[in-house]
Amino acid sequence: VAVLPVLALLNVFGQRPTTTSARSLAAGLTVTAPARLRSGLIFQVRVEVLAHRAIASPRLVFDRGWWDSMSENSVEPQASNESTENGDVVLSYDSLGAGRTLVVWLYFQVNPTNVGQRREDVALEDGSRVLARVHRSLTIFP
Amino acid sequence: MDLVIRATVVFFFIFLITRIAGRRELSSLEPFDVILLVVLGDLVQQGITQSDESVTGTLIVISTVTLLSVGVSWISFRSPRARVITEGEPLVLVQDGQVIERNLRRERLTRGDLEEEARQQQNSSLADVRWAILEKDGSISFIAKS
Repeated sequence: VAVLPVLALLNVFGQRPTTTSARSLAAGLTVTAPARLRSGLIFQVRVEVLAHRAIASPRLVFDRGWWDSMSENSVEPQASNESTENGDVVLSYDSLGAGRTLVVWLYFQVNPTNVGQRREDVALEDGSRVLARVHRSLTIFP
Repeated sequence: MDLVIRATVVFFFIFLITRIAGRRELSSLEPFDVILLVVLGDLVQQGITQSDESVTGTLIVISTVTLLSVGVSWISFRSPRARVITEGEPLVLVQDGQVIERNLRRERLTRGDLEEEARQQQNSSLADVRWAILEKDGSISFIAKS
């Protein structure tokens, strides 16, 4: 009986957020989100882009795992354009000057039937050129 | 992690509430009390699990509450001082036919309540009772004068 609460206190079952970062000469990309969740939970994702040099067409490319069997509550700031590429979700923003930061907040809720593990990479692109990519995965407990 | 913390906070708050409410209030539930209990259960559920709809969350909360319950009962078993806090002490309400008004007031009991309880236990008058004791579970024991 004591094992479950102890494991829960150690964040084995979520939902404490973790931070993953990637850097390149052009930009830095940081994603903060829970890596473990349970059905029904509402959670926040924060994506932070730091432009080391000007980015003409910043695009955030999210793996389909981010939206698959998830309810999206909101995305702020809203993208100037939303599209999909091979099932991935692409949020395009206005140009970003050198030294500027773009922070995007996304709010989701896990659908009750959503269980298992999925890939949740996020890439930062300038047009079609990849500037940085973070590799993440999410585990959802039933 | 948050589930365990919320369950623990609510467990000790309910524990405190039951101690404040008093034994008699909890041992004899009127229809209003039953409805209040159901509403309370729903409110507690919302506070602990919030939007969590998972089996994992349910198991964590049940395990936490069970663990706390066992823990409190173990502490009560080991420490007589803690037992007084967790379970309370028997309270003398009548001694040699004399009603101890101070103890009645403490448990928010009226003389009428006591007489009714005495009649239900085949005691025609409080004057015939040597001891009337409010037990830890909220029941009242009557010992008649021999």
